[in-house]
Amino acid sequence: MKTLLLVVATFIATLAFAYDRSADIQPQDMFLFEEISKQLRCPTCQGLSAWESETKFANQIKDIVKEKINAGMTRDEIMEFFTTRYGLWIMRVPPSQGVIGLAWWLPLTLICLCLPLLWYFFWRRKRMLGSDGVRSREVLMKQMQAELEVLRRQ
Amino acid sequence: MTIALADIGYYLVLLCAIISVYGVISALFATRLRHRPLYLSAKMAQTVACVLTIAAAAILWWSFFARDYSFTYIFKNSSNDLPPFYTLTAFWSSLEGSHLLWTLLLSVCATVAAWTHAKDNEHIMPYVSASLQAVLAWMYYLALTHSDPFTRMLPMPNDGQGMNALLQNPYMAIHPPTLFVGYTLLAVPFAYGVAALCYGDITAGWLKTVRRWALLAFCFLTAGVSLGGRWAYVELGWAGYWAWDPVENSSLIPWLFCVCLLHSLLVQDKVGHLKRMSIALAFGAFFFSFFGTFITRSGVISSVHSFAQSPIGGSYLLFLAGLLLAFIVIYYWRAPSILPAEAGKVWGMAKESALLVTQFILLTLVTIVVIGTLFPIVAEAIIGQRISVQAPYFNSFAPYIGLALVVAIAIGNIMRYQRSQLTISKRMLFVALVSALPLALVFASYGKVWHTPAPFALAAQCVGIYFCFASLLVLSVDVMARLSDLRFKLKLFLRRNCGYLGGYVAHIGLLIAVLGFLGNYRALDKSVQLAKGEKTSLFGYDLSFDGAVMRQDNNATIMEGILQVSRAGQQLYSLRPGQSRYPTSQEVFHEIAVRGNFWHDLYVVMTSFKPSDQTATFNIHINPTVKLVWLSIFFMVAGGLLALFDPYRGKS
Repeated sequence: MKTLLLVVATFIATLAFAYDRSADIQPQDMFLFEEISKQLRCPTCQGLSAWESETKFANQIKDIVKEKINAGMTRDEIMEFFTTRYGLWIMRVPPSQGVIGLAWWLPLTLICLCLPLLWYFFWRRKRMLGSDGVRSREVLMKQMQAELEVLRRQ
Repeated sequence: MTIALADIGYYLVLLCAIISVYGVISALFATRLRHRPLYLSAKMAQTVACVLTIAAAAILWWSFFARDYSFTYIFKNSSNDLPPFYTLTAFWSSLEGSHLLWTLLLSVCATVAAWTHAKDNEHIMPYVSASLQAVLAWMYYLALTHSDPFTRMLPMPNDGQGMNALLQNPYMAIHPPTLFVGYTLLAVPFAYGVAALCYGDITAGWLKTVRRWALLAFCFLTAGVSLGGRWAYVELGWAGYWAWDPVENSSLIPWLFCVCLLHSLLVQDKVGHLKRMSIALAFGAFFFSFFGTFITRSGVISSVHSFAQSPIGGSYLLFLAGLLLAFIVIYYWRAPSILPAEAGKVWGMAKESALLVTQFILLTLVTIVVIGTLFPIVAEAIIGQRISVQAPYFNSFAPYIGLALVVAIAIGNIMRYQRSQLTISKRMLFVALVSALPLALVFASYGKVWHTPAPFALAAQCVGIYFCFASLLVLSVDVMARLSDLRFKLKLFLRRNCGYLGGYVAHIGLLIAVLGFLGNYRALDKSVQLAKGEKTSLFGYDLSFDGAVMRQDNNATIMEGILQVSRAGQQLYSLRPGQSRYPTSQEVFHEIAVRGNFWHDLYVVMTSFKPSDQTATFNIHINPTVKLVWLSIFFMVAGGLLALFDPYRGKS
């Protein structure tokens, strides 16, 4: 019985990490708060935003966001505060400017480059070969002449 | 002196490593000398290594059940209070064991591939065997050095540290092995690809065999990836199933490559083109299955600097670099000898081009996922800047790729090979496109799409839902057209078109999944603190808190909050979200309560509970159309299986 009580006591002790998202913030600022905390990462989890996470660190971040909103800071000011304090890392997506912006431009550039390549490697053949699947006369003539040339040399 | 089981296990793996090296060398010599008995000895070596690996794995399993904590691995990953089912699955709950499991599966797969090949593949089998055993030899080497599950600790402790509580979930129990089976099945198309390159030609038998293995891999990967999503949904408590985190991405990339390979094989089968593309894709799928393990296991994800601390990372990197280099050399040297079957067949506005475009779209997604996953690592290594690339990045590309795929499915399916004219009646297509509109409207109104507050999200859903239904109907029109071509002889149709029907079912599965994903746009959530007897409401549901109870479930102690759910005054059911604790861990885990109907899930997490005044904080989520995502898995897997057991294609 004693051990059971002990288990229950320690169990209850660890339950006290409540986080109330709607506390300490005006209802009209709730939308801004949600928007900002969804763009900041939870520093100790993989792939979650501060909004979604309930860890201690994420809750601290949410508290800071609330504090800054209540102090009258705008969205951009709050973001700048976080990036100067924690680095770009705290943002869930990299900015699109500078070298880091490559994260956005690289896939887009690759896709744009690949489309002509795709055309070059595949559909280009249609012109080399006739539409009914037989090699066109010019190509055939060229090939035959090349082969004749080889034969002549021998 | 008695010999410890752990030592036997270690020496079995060592023996396997030696045998595999022998197997590689003898298979290579067999190809060089055209010596059949030498190849047979390589094949036997592979079989013996497989049996020995099974024995080594059996030893580890046996010791788990015997609670032999003299194994460091067992000490770290199990405890006396672990239920039997999780004792079985604790085998792969950490690095060393899951590596052994992967090795075991790969070894079994390679052996099955060696014994069941088609007759006209016999000439390339030594190459297949050599490449598979080379990979296996490296796996054994890793199991001996950096990932040895048989290390011992003395004196033997009386109890273990316990299995990670997050992994004590039925989905997590079967998710890793399913995914591993998928990965290992991908090794066979890869080996056949290398063999075709080395031999310098592709035969009809090659295509049949690779198609089968790739289809089976597709089924397992689909099931594996989605089981992981299901686990995240019911266990982690953030109300989603896909967060685009590096671990998830690294399981998605091989899946995408595998799907791409299946489409490329189709072109190869029907038109004779894209042979080299198939080989490259088979390599890509295999390479990225290991690459994913590298980035998740080496610690490189959390920071480039933690990479140096884990010894396994260096080995993986070396292996991957070697693998890539070897493939590029072989490809560069040998690929020109692999030619299209009939050079006369050209690329026109026909189905083969549509399939190529599909592959382009899929590879676009691969590119985005790979860049997004690797960018933080590369940026930190090169310019020393730590950045995060998370879900919003991928989500800004994914909807367009999804839409492109939905449209490509419809267009590609009504086209025919080597024919630029439309064979389906235009009137039927028009009917399909028009009648998609009322269907989409019904779906939207039942799914309460109009409640979405953001205009972009609403527009995206409307467009997405319409295109999904249009695509679905166009696919069905195509089935009808094919049926009418055979004068509705259903038996003949089923016998002849199993592969096609498999594709149809799998594509329907994808469309259903997209419909399910669209629900994310209108998800709702609410965080609320309730005292006993208090009420809250969300999306028409009234939830009243009835206090909390404590109960014991196997080794877990669970504190459950009881929420009575009612709608419009009518009592529906009670939800019991909770928090659980395991004796071996200090952490508290969420026990999530999910109930709902076809259209949405009511998903409740109890994030805290204060016993002093009986108040609890709940996160309540409404997740629309998640059930469609789970439903789509069955369709996709069933489609894959249907195509796999195509009796018509089985006969050459």
